[in-house]
Amino acid sequence: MSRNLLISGVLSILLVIGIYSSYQRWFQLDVRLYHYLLEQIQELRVSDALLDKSILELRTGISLNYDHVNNSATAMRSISTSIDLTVESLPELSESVTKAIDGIGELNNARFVDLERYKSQHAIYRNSTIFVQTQLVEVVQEIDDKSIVAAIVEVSDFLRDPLLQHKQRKTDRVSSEIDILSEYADANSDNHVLISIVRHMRLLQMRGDDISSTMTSLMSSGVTGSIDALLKLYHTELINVQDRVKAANIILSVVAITLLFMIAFAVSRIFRDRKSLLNLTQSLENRVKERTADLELAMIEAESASESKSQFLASMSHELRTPLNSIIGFGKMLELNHEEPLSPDQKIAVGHIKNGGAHLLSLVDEVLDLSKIEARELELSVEHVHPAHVFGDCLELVRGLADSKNVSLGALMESDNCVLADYGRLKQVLLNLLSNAVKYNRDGGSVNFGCEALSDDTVRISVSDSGNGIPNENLSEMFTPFNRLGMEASQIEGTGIGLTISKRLIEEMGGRIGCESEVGIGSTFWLELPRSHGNALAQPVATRETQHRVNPLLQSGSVTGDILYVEDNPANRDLMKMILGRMGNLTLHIAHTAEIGIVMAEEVHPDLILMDINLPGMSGTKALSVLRQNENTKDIPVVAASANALPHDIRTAMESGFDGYITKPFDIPVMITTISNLLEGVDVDKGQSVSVANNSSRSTRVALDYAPLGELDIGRILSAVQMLPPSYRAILENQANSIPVILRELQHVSSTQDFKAVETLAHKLKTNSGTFGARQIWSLAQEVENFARDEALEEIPRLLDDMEKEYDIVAPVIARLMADLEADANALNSE
Amino acid sequence: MIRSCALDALTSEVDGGAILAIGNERYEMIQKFRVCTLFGLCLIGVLATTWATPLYAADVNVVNEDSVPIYVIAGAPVSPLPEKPAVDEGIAELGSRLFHETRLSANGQVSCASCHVLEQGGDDGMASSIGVSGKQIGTNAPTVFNVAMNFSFFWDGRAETMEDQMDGPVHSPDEMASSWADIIDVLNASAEYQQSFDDLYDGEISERTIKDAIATFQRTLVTGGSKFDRFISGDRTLFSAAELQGYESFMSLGCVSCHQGVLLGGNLYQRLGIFEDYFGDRGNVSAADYGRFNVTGAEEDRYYFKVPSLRNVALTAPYLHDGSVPYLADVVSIMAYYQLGLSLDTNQIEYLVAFLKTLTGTHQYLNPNGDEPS
Repeated sequence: MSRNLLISGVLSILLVIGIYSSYQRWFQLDVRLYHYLLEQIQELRVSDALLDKSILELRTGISLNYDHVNNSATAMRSISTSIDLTVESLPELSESVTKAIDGIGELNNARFVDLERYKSQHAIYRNSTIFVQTQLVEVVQEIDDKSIVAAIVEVSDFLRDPLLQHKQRKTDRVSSEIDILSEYADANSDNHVLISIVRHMRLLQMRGDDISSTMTSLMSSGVTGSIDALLKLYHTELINVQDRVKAANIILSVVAITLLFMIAFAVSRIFRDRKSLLNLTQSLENRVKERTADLELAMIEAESASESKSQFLASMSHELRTPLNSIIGFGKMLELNHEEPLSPDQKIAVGHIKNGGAHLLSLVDEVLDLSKIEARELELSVEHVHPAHVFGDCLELVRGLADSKNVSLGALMESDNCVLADYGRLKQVLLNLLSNAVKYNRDGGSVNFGCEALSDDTVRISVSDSGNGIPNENLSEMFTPFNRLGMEASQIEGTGIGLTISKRLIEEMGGRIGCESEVGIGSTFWLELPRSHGNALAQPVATRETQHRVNPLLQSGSVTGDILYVEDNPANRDLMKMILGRMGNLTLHIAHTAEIGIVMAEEVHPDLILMDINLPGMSGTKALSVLRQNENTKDIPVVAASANALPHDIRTAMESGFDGYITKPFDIPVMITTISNLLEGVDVDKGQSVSVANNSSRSTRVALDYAPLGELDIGRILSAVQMLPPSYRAILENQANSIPVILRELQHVSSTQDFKAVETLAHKLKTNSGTFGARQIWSLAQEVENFARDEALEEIPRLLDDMEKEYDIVAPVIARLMADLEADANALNSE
Repeated sequence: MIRSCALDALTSEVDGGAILAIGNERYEMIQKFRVCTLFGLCLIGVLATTWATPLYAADVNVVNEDSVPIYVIAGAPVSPLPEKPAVDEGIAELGSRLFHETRLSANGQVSCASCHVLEQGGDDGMASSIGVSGKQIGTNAPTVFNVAMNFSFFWDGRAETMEDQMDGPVHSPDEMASSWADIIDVLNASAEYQQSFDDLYDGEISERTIKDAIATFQRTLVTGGSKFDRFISGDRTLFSAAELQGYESFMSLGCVSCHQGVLLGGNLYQRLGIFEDYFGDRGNVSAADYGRFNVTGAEEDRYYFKVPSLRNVALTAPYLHDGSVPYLADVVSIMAYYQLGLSLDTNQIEYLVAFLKTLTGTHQYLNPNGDEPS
C-alpha cells in the first residue's frame, strides 16, 4: 500500500515536471514568439516611417542619394520576410492578424513598385530641374528677347517647385510658354543649351503629372495605417494569448497543486500507515507482554498449586505420621519390654496394632514416594543390575503371600541380561508387580516371570499371572493413580497408586511399562529397560526373608550425656523418654515450647538438643538460630525431630544449621545412631576420652568395641545396616568378604600395568569399604583409583601395604559386626 | 527551431541596418507593451530616425567652396566605398574556391569566374557571355566587384539578393546548366570540400551553405581606395584638371542623377532612352531588351534597366546591357545623347572619361601587385 503510494507520488512528480517542460514548449515559447512578432511589427512600423522619411527627403531634395531609400526599403523588406517566417511558425495566430499582415505585404510590394518608378521618375525630374536651373543663367544671358527670358524664368520657376506642379490653372500657361520657347529654340538652332533646356522643360512638363501621381500613390500607400491597424489588432490578439497563457498557468498550477496535494496525501498516508503499523506492533507487543505476564502468573499459580499439593501431602504425611509414631512406637515398646512381658494374647493384639500401623505407614510412604517423583526429587542411582538378582530378592518377599493364596511362583528364567536401573527402585517395581500378580490371582493360580533381550538396547522383564485378567477398556487406566479398577470393594488391600509409582519409576529410569491382558486367562505386566552390557556386581540372591526388626543394638543404653528434648506433643515426649531411657546413662530434659527450651539449654547446657520443628509459638528453626546466637549454647548440637519427611523439609532444616534430622515416626535405630554419633562427636570435639559405660549389653558392647578403632564410621555401618532392607545383610556380608579378595587382586594386578583393572578394583574396594565406614581404606582406595586413572603406579604398592595394614585392624571388627548381625537375624527368625 | 531560423533570417537580411539597433535587449521592455506600447513606439521611432539620419560623405568632405560647384557641395549623392566587410576568412576562402569551381557547371568547364574574371574587372570583356551551351546569353555580364552593394541583381533586377541571383546562372541552360542537387553531389564527392564544409558549416553541404559561402566571398570584392574615393574623402588636389572638369560635367550634365550613391549606380532602375529612342535607333529589339518589363509585366517598365555601377567602369567594357559599346568614350556619348538629350563635344567626353577612370579601385585580384589604379 505504502509502496504503491510512493510510486504514484514519484509518477506525479514526473508528471509535474513533464507538464512543466511541455508547458514551456507549448505556451512559454509561443508567448515569446508572439512578443517577437509584436517587436517585428513595431520594427516594421519604424522602418515604414524611415522609408517615408527617405522618400520625403528625395521629394524635397534634401537627399538625392537613392542608397538611403534603398536601405530603408531593404530593411522593410527583410522585416516583412522575417514577419512572414514568424507568422508561419505561429499557426495559432488568428486569421484577422494573418490577413492584415498579408495585406501589409501586398501594400508594401505595391509601394516598392511605386518606389522604383518614383526613383526613376525622380532621377529624370531632378536631373531636368537641375539642368534647367544650372544652364538657365548662361542661356538667358545670350537671349535678347525679354518675353522669352521671362517665359524661361517663369517655366523654370514653375517646374522647380514640385509643390506647385499640380496647380492646374498654371499648367496650361506653362505648356503654351514651353511651346513658345520651343519655337524660339528651333529658330535658334545653334543654341544647343537652349534646345536642351526646352527639351528638359518639355520632359518635366510631360512627366510632371506622372511623378506627382506616383508620389501621391507612394505616400498614400496605406502601409502605415495598415501597420497601425495591425498593431491595434495584434494587441487584442496578444492580450487574448496572454489570457490563454494565464488560464493555462492557472490550470497548470491547479494540476501541480493537486498533484502536490496528492503527493502530500500519499506521504501522509505512508506515515500514517507506518504509525498505525507501529501502533499495531506496539499493541501486539503489549498483548504479548500481558499474555506472558498472565502465563507467568498462571505458572506461578500452577507452581504454587503444585506447592500446595506438596504441602498438603507433607502435612498429610505429618499428620498421619504423628499418630502412627505413637501407635508403632508404643507397640514396639510393649513388645520389647522384657521386664513385663506381654501375655500371648496381648502379643498378638500388639502385633496387629504394629502391623496395622506399619501398613498405614507404608501407604503414607507410597504417597510420599509419589509426591517425591512428581516433585522430581527422586534420586536414582542407575547402575548395572541383574534382573534375576532382583527377582530373587522379591520372590522371597512375596513367597509368604503366595503360599497363603496357594499361588505357585514360576521358576526364575535364567538370563544373563543386565539392565541399567536403580537396584532398589527396580526391586520396588518388581515387588509391586509380583505382589499384584499374587494378590489378584485366583486361588491355586500361578505367576511366571520372563526376562529377555528385545534388542541390543532393550531388555524386557515380564510378570504373568493367571488371574481374571483386565478388560481391555480398563487397560488404559491401569497406571492412573488411585484407580483400582473396581477392586475398591474387594478384600484385597491396596492403595491404588502402586502401578502409578511403578510407571513413574520405570520412566524415570528411561524405560517403559505396560500390560497385556486377556479376561479369564490372565495378565502380563512387562517393563522394558535400557540394556546394560557391563557386568553387574555379583550379588548373590538373598535367600532369607526377615521381617523388619528393631536392631538389638538399641535395646539398652550405651551412651552418656544430657539431652534436651523440645517437644509439644506429650505422646512423643513419652516415647522419647522410653527410648532414651533404654539407651543408658542419658539424662533427658524436656521442654514444652521453644522458648522454654532455649532457657533450659542455657541453664542445663545439654550435650545434645532434640528440637521439634513444628512448635507452637516459636518454631524449632527459629529457636535454633536463637541458640546459635547465644555464646553459651551455640556449640550444642541440635537435631531436628519432625514429622515433616519430605526431602525438601529435611534439606531446608539442614541448611538452617541443624546437625541432624530425624523423622517421625521415629525410626528408633536411626534416632539412636544419630544421637550416639553426635554425642560421640561432642566428646571427640571436646578432646575428651571416650567415656565407656560399663554396660554389658551386647549391642552396647559392639558399639563400644567399634568406637575406639576410629577407623570405622560406626554410624555409617549402623545406618547402612538399618536403612537397607533386611535382605541386604547378605550384600553386606558379601561386600565384607570381597574386601580381602579385592586387596589380593589389586596386589596382583598392580604389577601388570593394567591401569584399567587397577582403577576398577580400587573403585570396587572403595565402594565396599565405604559400606562399612572404613574411612582409611576408603581414602587409600580413592588415592589408588586416582593414581590408576593417571596411569601412575609408583605409589600404589605403598598404598596397598597401608591398606593391608588397615584391613588387618578393621577386619575383626567387620567380622564381629557381621556375626552380630547374623546372630540378631537368627534370633529374630527363631522368634 | 523555427524561431531560431526566423532570427537567423532576420540577422542575415537586415545586417547592418539601423533598425536592428532594436535588439533582443529590448525584448524585455517590449514585453511590457501593454503599459508603454505607444511610448515605446515613439521612443524607438525617434531613436531610430536619429540614428538613421545619414551623414553624407559629400557634406562632410567636399568643403572647398571655391573649387567645387555649389550643387556638389549641397548634396552630391555619392559616397566612398566602405571598408571591406569583416567576414569569416574560411568561408570567404571556400566561397572563392566555389566561385572558381568549374565542376559547378553541367560540363565541368564553366565557373562563376569564367564570366566574371576577377583579374579583368569582374566581367569577361565580351558583349554577352558564352556558357556551357556555347550560345551567347541575352545580356552583358556585369562586374562582380562591389556587387554586394547593388540594390538588386541582373540588369532587370529580377533578383533581390545575391543568393537569389545565383540561381540564375546555375540553372540557366546557356550558362552553367546545373542544379543545386547536382552541385551538392559534386561537392559531396570531394573530400576537400567535405572537409571545408565540415569545418565551416558542420558538414552541411546545401544550397544555403553554398550560396552563403559564395555570397560571403563576393562581399569581399570591394574595390576601395579609388582616386575618386580619395578625392571626395578630402584630397582635393588629387584630381587632374581634366578629371575635375569631368567630375564637374558628371555632376552638371546630370549623369549623377542616376549614377549615384556609393556605387555610382546600382541603386535604381532607369529607362534606356529618355530623350531619344535607343532601341529604335539600334533596332533588332529582343526580349532581353525589355528590361524591367520582363519582371513586372508592366508596360511602363519596358526598357527600364538597373542603372549599372560606374565603379571600375574603365575595366568593364563592353558596355550597356547588350554589350554593344566597346569603348568608354562611346558609351559616354551614347548615354548623354539618349539619357540626357545632350550631344557632348569631344572635350567633354574626354574629361568625363578621365573622370570615370578615377573610379577604378583596388583589389588583390584587380591589382595583384598593389599597382595604383591609373
